[in-house]
This record gives sequence, C-alpha cells and structure tokens, in this order.
Amino acid sequence: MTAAFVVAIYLLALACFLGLDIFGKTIPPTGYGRVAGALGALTAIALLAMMQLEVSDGPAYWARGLGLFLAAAAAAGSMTSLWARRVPLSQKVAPLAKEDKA
Amino acid sequence: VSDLLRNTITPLVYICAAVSFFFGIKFSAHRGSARSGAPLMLGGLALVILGVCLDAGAAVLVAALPFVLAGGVVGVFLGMRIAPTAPPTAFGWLFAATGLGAALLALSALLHGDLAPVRLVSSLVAAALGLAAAPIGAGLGFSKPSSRADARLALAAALAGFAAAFLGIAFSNVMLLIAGGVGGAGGIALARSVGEAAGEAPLKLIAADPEKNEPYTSACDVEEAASILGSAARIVLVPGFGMAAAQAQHALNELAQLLEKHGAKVSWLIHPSAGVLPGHMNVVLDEAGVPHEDLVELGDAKGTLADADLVLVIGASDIVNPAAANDEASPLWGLPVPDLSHVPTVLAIKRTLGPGASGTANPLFEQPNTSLVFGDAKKVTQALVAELKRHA
Repeated sequence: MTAAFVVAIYLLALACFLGLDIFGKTIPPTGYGRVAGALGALTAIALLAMMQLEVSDGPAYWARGLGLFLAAAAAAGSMTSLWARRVPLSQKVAPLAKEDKA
Repeated sequence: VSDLLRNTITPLVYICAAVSFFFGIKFSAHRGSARSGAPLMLGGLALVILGVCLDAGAAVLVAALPFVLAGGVVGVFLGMRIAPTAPPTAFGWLFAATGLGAALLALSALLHGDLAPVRLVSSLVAAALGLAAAPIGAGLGFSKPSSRADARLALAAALAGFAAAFLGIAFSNVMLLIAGGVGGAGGIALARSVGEAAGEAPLKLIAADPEKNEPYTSACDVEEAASILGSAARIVLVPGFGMAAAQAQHALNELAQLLEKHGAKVSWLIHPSAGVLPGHMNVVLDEAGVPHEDLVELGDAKGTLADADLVLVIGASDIVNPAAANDEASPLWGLPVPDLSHVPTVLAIKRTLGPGASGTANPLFEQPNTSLVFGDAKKVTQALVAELKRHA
C-alpha cells in the first residue's frame, strides 16, 4: 500500500504539472467556457471508472448509483456541448479584458 | 488472465484514454486541428468504458449500467441546451454534478466497509472536496456572467478535479488519478487566466462582492461566428446604418444566399428607422438584389423572431436597444424595437462598443445570449462568407 501510495503521489504531481502546462498554454484571455467544458468532461469521464466499485445493496449501492448518474450526466453534457462546437478553444466566446472594452 | 487484465492491461487502457483526452484538448487549441479534438476526447471516453469493462465483473457492470445510461440521457439533453454563445457560467452545473458525484462515490466506498488508513483518508478528502465544489458550481447557474463568476467556476473545476484525484489515490485507479490531477490543475490555470484578464488576483475575484460587477461583454472572432451561423436553421438578419455606411449589402446578401444553400431559412428584419431616413434599408438591400419576400417589417416580425435560432445584427445599435422598451429614462424610450431577449443566440457585428446615434449605451450587448464580432461590417461579412465556403 505504501509503495502504491508513493506511486500515486508521483502520478498526481505529474498530472498536476501536465494540467498546468496543457491548460496554462491553451487558455487565452478568451475561451473560458470551452476550457471549463473540457475540464468537466475530463473529470466526469474519469469518475465513470468507479463503476468497478463492487457494492450490491444498501446505502452504499444507492450512493454509488447516484454518483454514477451524476458523473454520467456531467460527462455526456460536456461532451455534447463540446461536440456541437468543434471550434478552437482559443477562439471561444469570452469576456473582454478591460483594455479591450476601452 | 484476470490478474493480467486487472494489473497490466486495464491501467494501460486508462493511460491511453488519458493520452487521447490530452491530445483532444491540445488539438482543440489550434485552428487547423480543432475539429479533431472532440473525436479524440470521445475516444478517451470510449477507452475509459473499455477499461472499466475489462476491470469489473459483469454483475457489477449490469448493476451500474441503468444509472450511467439514465445520467447519459439527462446529460445529452442538458448539453444540447448550452447555446453556442452561452457564458462560462452555463457550465456551472457540470461541476456541481461532478463534485457531488465524486462525493457520493467516496461515500459509497466509505459505507462499503473497512478501509485501510490511506484509503479512508483519501476517500474523506475526496468527499469533502466534492461537497465543496457542488454548491459553488450549482450557485453559478444563478449568477450573472462576470469575472467573479468565471473565477468561481475555475475554483469549482479545481475542487471537482482534485476530488476525483483523491478517489484515484483511494482506489489506486490510474485514470481517476491522472484525469483528476489534470482537471484540478487545469482549474487553477483557468483561475489564473481569469485573474490576468480581469487585472485582479483570482482569490480576490472569488471573494469579491457580487453586486459590484462590471458589465460583461462577450466577443468572438469570425471563425467562431461562422461556426455558430453554420449550425443555425432559422436566421434573422437585422441591418442598420453601419451596414449601409460600410456598403456591406452585397456581401451580406451573398452570406444570406450561402446560408440558405446550407439549408437555413434567412429573413431580413427591416426597422423603419434604420439608416439615415425611412426606407433607407429597403433601397440599399434592393440594390444588392435581396428578394422582397425575404424582408419582414418590424411590426410583422414577432412570429419570425419567436422561431429564430439566431439573430445577426449588422451595424445597428439604437434600433435594437432594449432600453427603448424597458427604460423610461432612456432618450430612446418609445422607439419600437424588436425583443431579442428570448432569441437563443444574438450575434452583433460592431466596429466598437460605442453607442449609436442617440449616444445611449446598449444593454443588448451585455445580454448573456449576445456575442459581438468586432470589425467593419463589410470586411467581417466577407470574412464570414470566406469561412463558410472553406468549411462547405
């Protein structure tokens, strides 16, 4: 368990680095909605991996069921909106920075 | 074989899913490759489901499937309701659902039985982070679009992402760990970007007084606008003085013909006061060869607007200013104007955010369903035509 935990922490650090790198370079002063959609999709889709949690009845079963229902709704919702608007992240609708409004 | 699947093949499938998703996001950032981004992300989703199927027993999957399918149907329905120009706050419910989902899944694990200390602590942290994300995400649905709301959206994304990552630690699930970590860090990157654009520290924005928000204006470029136009079925064009001044009528007629060729129904809403004198628009559009039967006078436009998916305002401000109908103090009070508040998407081609001839600011440009395309009416329209032809 300890070794697995250490590996997990390394993976988490690597994932955080990747996340900052990918999104840090992708997000312009425009594009928040699309980036938010991609983040939501990424997290919600990953949560579907919890389908493998083996619970058969009782409150744990219903908690898992409702959790999966919400994760699937978020995954499908974000993917639907992303699929319908297959345009560059960097060009999405966004608030204007103060200097743009001037 | 079962151990080989569980210990080797499934993590590999999850890593492929994560890589597929990363490239999907990466591709989405560049014009040339943007259309490949969404299929790659969908590929990532398919790989996650494959990984789960390889990892879990049939009985577990069958028990989970009704919930996943029901959630998928609800999600597709809600996703289709997010308009192309919807502000980022429209995505708030995603993080409420993701956060609450992560918290419930952690709760399920906690209720399920005795957990080793690392699993127990990770599950508790996941539940706490998920529960913190849920109200922030849900509250965004009631917020006006603003930099503060965008910063709170980023916070909800970060909390939901890290909740998933801690679930990944609890269950040694590579997919959850990587995707959650990337999602959480992506939320932090988003908060930083929002802060830079607003000229404020992200934490200050999150804590800011919601009543003191600046007006919020959305803008998009020609490529985005062309994509939105190309996906609309019933379009109403509203030309104004700026269209005539820029001599954009020929380009606009070409745009209308192109959209009709793509299957859209295009109407022209003619305001009696548009232009320098009554009838100005009719003369200009007649010169460009716009069919008379496609013109709709303002007085007859109610039904046309009620059916419209999209209204494109070209070089007009006062004649579409809602203050004329809503604000008795406005110098425009009493001028008949079309009600565009219920149209799903309004695009407005404008040179600047400056007011129209009346000198009155236009609240239409701050409506959440409105997005501006800045530039000269003729040049923008020509660019829209070129963009639509490029993707025909």
